[in-house]
Amino acid sequence: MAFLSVQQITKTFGNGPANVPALVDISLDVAEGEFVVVLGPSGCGKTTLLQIVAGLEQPSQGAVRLRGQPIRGWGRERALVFQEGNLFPWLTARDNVAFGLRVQGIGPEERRATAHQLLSHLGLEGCEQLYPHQLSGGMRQRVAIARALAVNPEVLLLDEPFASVDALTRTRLQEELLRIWQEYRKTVLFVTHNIHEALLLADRLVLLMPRPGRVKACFDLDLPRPRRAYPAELAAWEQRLEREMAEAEQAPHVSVPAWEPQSLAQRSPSAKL
Amino acid sequence: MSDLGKRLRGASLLLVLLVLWELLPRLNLVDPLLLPPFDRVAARWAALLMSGELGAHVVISLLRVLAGFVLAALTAIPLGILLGLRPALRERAEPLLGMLRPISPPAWIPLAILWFGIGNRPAVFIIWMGTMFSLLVGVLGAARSIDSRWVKAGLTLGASRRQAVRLVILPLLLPAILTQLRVGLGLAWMCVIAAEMVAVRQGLGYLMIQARNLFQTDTVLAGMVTVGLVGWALDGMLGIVERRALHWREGTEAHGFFERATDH
Amino acid sequence: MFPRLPVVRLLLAVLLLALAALTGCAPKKDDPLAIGVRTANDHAPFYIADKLGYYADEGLQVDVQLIPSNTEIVEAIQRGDLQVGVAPITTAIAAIAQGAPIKIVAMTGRGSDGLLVRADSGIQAIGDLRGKRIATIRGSILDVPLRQALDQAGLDPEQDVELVYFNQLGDMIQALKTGQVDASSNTEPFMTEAELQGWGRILSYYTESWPDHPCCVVFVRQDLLDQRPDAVQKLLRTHIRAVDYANAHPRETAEIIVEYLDAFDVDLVEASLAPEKMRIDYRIVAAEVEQMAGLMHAYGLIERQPSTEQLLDLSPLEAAVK
Repeated sequence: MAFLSVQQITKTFGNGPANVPALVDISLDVAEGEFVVVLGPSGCGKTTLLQIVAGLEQPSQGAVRLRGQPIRGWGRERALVFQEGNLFPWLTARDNVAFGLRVQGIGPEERRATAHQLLSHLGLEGCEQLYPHQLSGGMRQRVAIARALAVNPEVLLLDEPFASVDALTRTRLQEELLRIWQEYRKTVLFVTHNIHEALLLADRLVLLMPRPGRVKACFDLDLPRPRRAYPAELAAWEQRLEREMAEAEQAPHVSVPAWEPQSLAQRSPSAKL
Repeated sequence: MSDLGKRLRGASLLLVLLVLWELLPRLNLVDPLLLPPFDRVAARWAALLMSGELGAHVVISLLRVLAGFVLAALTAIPLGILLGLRPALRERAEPLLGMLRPISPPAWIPLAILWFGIGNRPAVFIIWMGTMFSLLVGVLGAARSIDSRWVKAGLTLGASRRQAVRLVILPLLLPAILTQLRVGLGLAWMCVIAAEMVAVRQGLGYLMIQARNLFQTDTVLAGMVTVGLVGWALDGMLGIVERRALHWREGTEAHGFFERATDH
Repeated sequence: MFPRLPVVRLLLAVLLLALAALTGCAPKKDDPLAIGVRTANDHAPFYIADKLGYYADEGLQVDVQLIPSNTEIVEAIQRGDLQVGVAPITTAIAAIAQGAPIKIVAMTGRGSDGLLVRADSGIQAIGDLRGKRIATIRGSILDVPLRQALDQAGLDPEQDVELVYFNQLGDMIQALKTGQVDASSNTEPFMTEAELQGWGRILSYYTESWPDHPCCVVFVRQDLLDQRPDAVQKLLRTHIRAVDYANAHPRETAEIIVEYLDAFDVDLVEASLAPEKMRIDYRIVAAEVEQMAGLMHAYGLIERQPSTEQLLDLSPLEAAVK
């Protein structure tokens, strides 16, 4: 059984004839310690997928399992790094990072020490007492990552975390993330629409196509890191993925038959809810 | 504009009003029985202050107002947060709230006397009722419109629902709550006259009501000036508290963009 | 700099509005006389004159307005909205002491005020009120005779009893009924009503300490006296006629009172008009006005005691009587 298993997830918003199928029959597996990137154009439901894995949304059908057990709502074992960071504005950088520890009842001394350590690890030693509005976009995302790491999640979820920073900062942040991933041996599920970013980071790439969100293809990226050392291969991959993405974007809208609730007798034994 | 500049501008406007207040009755452009000239009111005010009467009245009124205000805050804030976060409860409560809220403070007087008799208790009750519903609606509105993204952040970091309320929602609401409290304190203070119509023997409201019955308009005006000054001081104090508690908001305010770049 | 600011322009506009509101208006020659009266037994002559057309008989155009509050009547006179007012003598004295340009010209009623207690309270005499709570309206006709009565019974109003100040008669009655006060200074017909309803007992009337004391008076704006003395005389002739009618026809008077007050029943009101309780009268003398003013000054209710000339102008009444 895979470490993290997304099984036939379907998500439909709304009821009756006006419903919007956002995701249909998405399945993917993530092995422990793997860095999986979900790549897709806008509207393919990749954020919804991540929210379902994080437990912030409920699927209409299908299940998500972690270490074989179905997930129950949200939890720190699947910490999420949001696109806008969502740092608590009333807390300093250090207290933001310490938040997840405070929630667990860990004492102030210990949490401050852990937060300090993590912030240093992410290159933010001088920034501990600063408030989010005093930090640059790149620094804020680093704090957000440190905050998620602080709770020692089983799976680190990231929803286009570098989409709103400039290209230079983005490159630095990508390198940071890779370094963290390797040091802490985390399992990562990362969502983006940026092909180059996906290629730099992923062990495995899952390409989604929109209307409704479905898996178009999966790719194993056997390229060693740092990937910039292999420009030719990267270029080839980029071309291929651009083609795939273009096809995905131009794919016609597929109307999905209205989901009918299945009676227990009709369910196949493998699709356990 | 410098702080001093601002203060001077405010002072000059005040000065103009005071000059008008003195001249218009003296020149009989306004009936001095209806508006006594400023110096008479000032003299009366000084006399009340010197005799210690004014101080005693202010203290009593303040105590009543603070008591009513605290009661209003303690009931309205938790209730407002609860109703703001629970749409089902809010829907059921909304009709009742809608009916109770427009009841102005003097309208509570008969009931207050009936239930609490005479003296301090009905006065505090009237202030409580006069303040609570506005506070409740304000806090409710703020709780309703909390952006869920920080709540989501808190939850995915392992917070339980209760922890999310305590550690995310309350800090998020604090600015709105402090603003509402400031408004509420102003409202509570404005209730003081209505509250002291219920057979009390001291207080600014009592002073003004009795003065009116005996046509002592200068005392009525001196009382009003005092009400204004004390209300201003209360608001100023809460403003300081607000600024201290919300220092993390500096740099995130939008109003800076509405000040003119060049002030004359 | 100033005039350009839109805020200042707004302020000036507001100021002009305020000015317009606060300047009193002088009466013009032929305007109807605006008379403010309250809903009370001793204002009956004005109901009578209104109902029976006495004003028209004198060729006087009037506008009789029922106003619930003594203070409002005086304030309306100060603004010029009324030219004639009927209110307790204490109200008139307090207003004149503060400079109101009015003069008392006639009486309309005497007596009718006293102390009410609960029937079961065991209070038998004013002396029993030592240490008790008494409801009163500070500075009013319910207050001054009360203090005098307490004085005469050997009680210091400020030290030996607890005076509780109200603003409305209704609240005082409620407070007495529910036991929040032990006695209430009160007026007819509420006192008789309380007895008839069984819960109250009239402890005494203030006429016991000051026989035939003045209650409500008629007062007019000074500029009315100056500019239309004939109108004032006609008004007072009407008043005399109505007073005589009231004293000769108590039952009919009670009916008219019930109609204008829109409350109580005729038997109750007739009972409350009994001569031992009150007397409708137009005669007024300087000595009693001075005495009331002196008491008010002594009790600290007015800061300076106005002179008799400032309080009273008997010439229209004297002329009307002839």
